[in-house]
Formats: sequence, structure tokens, C-alpha cells
Amino acid sequence: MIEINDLTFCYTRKKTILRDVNLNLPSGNVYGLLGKNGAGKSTLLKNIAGLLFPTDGECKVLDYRSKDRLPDFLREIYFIPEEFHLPALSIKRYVDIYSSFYPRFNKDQFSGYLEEYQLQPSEKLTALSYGQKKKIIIGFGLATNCALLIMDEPTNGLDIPSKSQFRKIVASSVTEDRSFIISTHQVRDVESLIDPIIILDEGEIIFNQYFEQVSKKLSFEVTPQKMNDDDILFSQSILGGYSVVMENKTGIETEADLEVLFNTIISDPKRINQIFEDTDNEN
Amino acid sequence: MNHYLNITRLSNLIKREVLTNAKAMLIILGAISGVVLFIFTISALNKNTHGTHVPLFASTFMVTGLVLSSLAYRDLLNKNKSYAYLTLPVSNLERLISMLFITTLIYIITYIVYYFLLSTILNAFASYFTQQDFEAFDVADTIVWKTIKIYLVVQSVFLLGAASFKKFPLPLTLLTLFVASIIMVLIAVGIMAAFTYDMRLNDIDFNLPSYLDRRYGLDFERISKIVFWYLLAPFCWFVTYLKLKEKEV
Repeated sequence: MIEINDLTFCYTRKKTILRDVNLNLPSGNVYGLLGKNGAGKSTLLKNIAGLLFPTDGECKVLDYRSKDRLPDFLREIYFIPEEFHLPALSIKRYVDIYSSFYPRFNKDQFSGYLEEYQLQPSEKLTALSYGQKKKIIIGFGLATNCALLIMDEPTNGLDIPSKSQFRKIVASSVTEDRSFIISTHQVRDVESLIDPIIILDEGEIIFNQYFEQVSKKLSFEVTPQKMNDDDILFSQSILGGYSVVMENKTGIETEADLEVLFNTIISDPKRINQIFEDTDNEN
Repeated sequence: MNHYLNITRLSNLIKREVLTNAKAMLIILGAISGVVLFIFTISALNKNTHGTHVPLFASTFMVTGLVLSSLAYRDLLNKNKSYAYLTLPVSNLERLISMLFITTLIYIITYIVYYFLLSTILNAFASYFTQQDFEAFDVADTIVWKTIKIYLVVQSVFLLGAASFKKFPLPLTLLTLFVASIIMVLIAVGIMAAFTYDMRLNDIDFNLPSYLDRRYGLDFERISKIVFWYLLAPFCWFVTYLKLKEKEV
């Protein structure tokens, strides 16, 4: 569904944000896009949505070049930025005006989200809190039933119950012909939701794997003491011991901790990718 | 053609623009009503019962329209608003046509109706207080239609400014027009100086338009009129379209 070939993006000649990014993302997944601050996540999302144009290479969604911003392409994507604007209208009015642009918009589905969020259609958007506005825009995006929903830091500003609601409604919206890209720093909020995981560092994709592969190839353990072993890929101090990541040589799958996984990959991407490549070659 | 122009999408976009900007438009009309009321009151106090409305209409119509045109793409001035505007499932041609439609046809009709009603109310009040008859606003006056014709051309420049400048489109468009005028005058003076060098040496009277007409068969006045009335607006609209096409956040 998304095909990115040799995408390079620079704001200025001296500052390259994305460098030769290649990605092929089939539909039916909730992609988790992770990376440190300034890694280029938002820039990549904006390139996919056609809000920024590649300096080199190309980005295609459903065979449409993103930069052309054709209406048939735009009706199949919905972009929820971290910071957004909602007009001074009631929720009902907003839906009446904007839903007409999306042919598969489902008003009943949106009403269901409003009920879940305990919001009334008559409420003025400008009178809502940031978190409530975020729920509205996420609910609207889901109700468009577009093929690709792009969310930049979707759980920022949501309270604890809303985060669970968010996970629930996103999980229930995934279909074979629909994809989500969630870019976030709040990995705990979306840990149960995202698969595969894409990690971007200094403008390059350094990791792109499904959880299943991660569990097969890496082993996540908690040890009471710090271990010095060549097999240890990463270790970090936690309450009551150490969280350790090793190459999975036993074949026994352990539950991957996304935060620890991210830190492991960032600490030594070459070595981690070597493990995944070696096993791929063996297969 | 569906990729570029679809009537349903276009009408949805116009509806969106009008409904989301209705409040701002009403504020502008309210401010203009205040200006009209002020000028008309001064005029009425000076017992000017005739010839007030047409020039008042022409000036306020032009100023309001150009301000409106400058703010046509105000969603692009704000990063957060531009995300929603540029990802709205419409084509760039529809983005252009919708704003053209609003700043020309919708604006012209609305303003004429608005001014007609406002002038009727103002005349009634003025007559009540002064016991004199005030001339009604004549929509068919030639100045009214000439103003509208000029507006249709000039607004294209301000629409282009709205799509081009990332901040302060109105003052920057005015500044650009000012700088462009100076450059054009300097070029004209330069050409004139080059042509007249020999003639000035020989103390011969020189008129550039008649010289161009005599020498090259170029009717300067006619060419200027064609450029202004028929070429300037389509050129600006085309460049506005290209600006919208290449717009990034």
C-alpha cells in the first residue's frame, strides 16, 4: 500500500532530515513508527501524506504519488498531526461539513465514538479541552474509513481511560484493507497495538520487523544482577534488577518489551540487524 | 477530469469555506458598516443629499474585496490549519476555483445586496432626522460596474499574494505592487532615455507611445488595455494555481 523508494528530504542543503529511505508497507497493519526526537518521524509522515515533497526519490500510497495530492489519494488518507486546528463549529456541524469529502464516512460509527467519549454533538469544538478535541479528530479519522490513517503522537493529551478507549477503538477498526501508522514516544500507550515496528534514527530506517520475528530472534529477560556476557545485546537497570536483551538461541519466545527493544536497537542497530539478517538467510 | 474538477467536491469545498469563515466575513461586514455609517453621517450633516452612495460603495467595495481576497488562503498562514486544508480531498484547481467563486461572484452579489439594504436604511434614518430626501443607491450606475470590472482584475493579484506569502499577505502584496510599479517606471524611463538620446541632442520633441506606433506599429494604449483587462487576471490565476500545487506545510 505504501511504497517509498530512495526518499531523501532536506529542509536546507546542509540539513538532511531523511536519507535514502526505502519502505514497502502492505495494508492491514498498525505500523508503529518510533524514533528519538528529531529523527525525522513527523517529516516522514508528512511526506507520506503529501504535505512535504521529497527532495529526491518518491513516495506512493495506493499507487498515487503523494506529492500530487490528487483527490482520490487524499480521500484514502487521514492525517492527524500532533498539533491540529478545529474550527469554531459544533461537533455536528463539523461532521456535516467535513464528512461529505469522504465517501465511506460512517456517521453511526462516529456517533458511537461520541457516546464512548461522553461528548454531545451540540458541543462547540472550541469549548472542548485539548484531549477532547483529540478524541474528536481521532474518531472522525476512524469514521472516514479511509485506507490509511496516519497519527502523530495520538495519545498525547489523552487521560488514562481515554488511552484505553483509544487502543480499543483502533484495534476494532483494523481490517485487511486498512492501515494505520502511529508515530509516538509514548510506547507504553500503543505497545499492544502496533505491529510491525519501524525505527527511524538520524533520517534512516534502522529497524522494520514484526513482533513475531522480534520474539523469535531476541530474548527479553529480567535478571537480579548485572550480567557480563558477550551475548547480551543490551541491559538497563530497572526496579529490582536488570532488564536484559539477548539473542534468542534457545527458541523459547519471551514477551518483548517495546521500550527495551527500542533502546536495544538504538544502542547498536548494526548488531541487531545482523541477527535478523542471519536468521533470514538461514530461513 | 475527475482528478481536477468535480462539481460535488467543488460545491462541498465552497460550502466549507463559507460556513467556516462566516464569522470572519460578518466581522468584516460589520466593520465596513461602521465606516459607511460614519462617512454617510458626515455627508448628511453637511446636507449632501446626492452623490454620496456610489463613490462610498465603490471605495468600500474595492477595499473590502481586496482584504477578503488577501485572506482567501488564510488557512495556509497557520501550520495547524494548513494540515487540514492541504489534506482535504479536493484538487488544487478546486481550491483555486472555490476562492475565485467566493471572492468574485459571491462577494459581488453579497456586497451589492448588503450595500443596497444598508443605504436604504441609512437614507430612511437621514430623511427622518433631516426632513430631506436622500438619493438612493443606484446599482445601475456606470461607476458601480466599472468598479466591479476593475475589481475583477485587481483581485487576481491579491489572490496570488494570498497563495504566495506565508505571512502578512495584504501588506506584502501592496509592497510588491509598489516595488513592481517603481521597477516598471524605471524601466520605462530607461527605455525613454535610450530612445530619446539622439533626439534630445538634436532638441526634437519625443513621445514614446507615438514613436512605438510610428516605428513598430505598436499601439501602446491598446496593448496596455489588453494586458490589463484580458491577460493580467488569467495570468495571476494560473500562477495562483501553480503556487497552490507546490504548497508544502
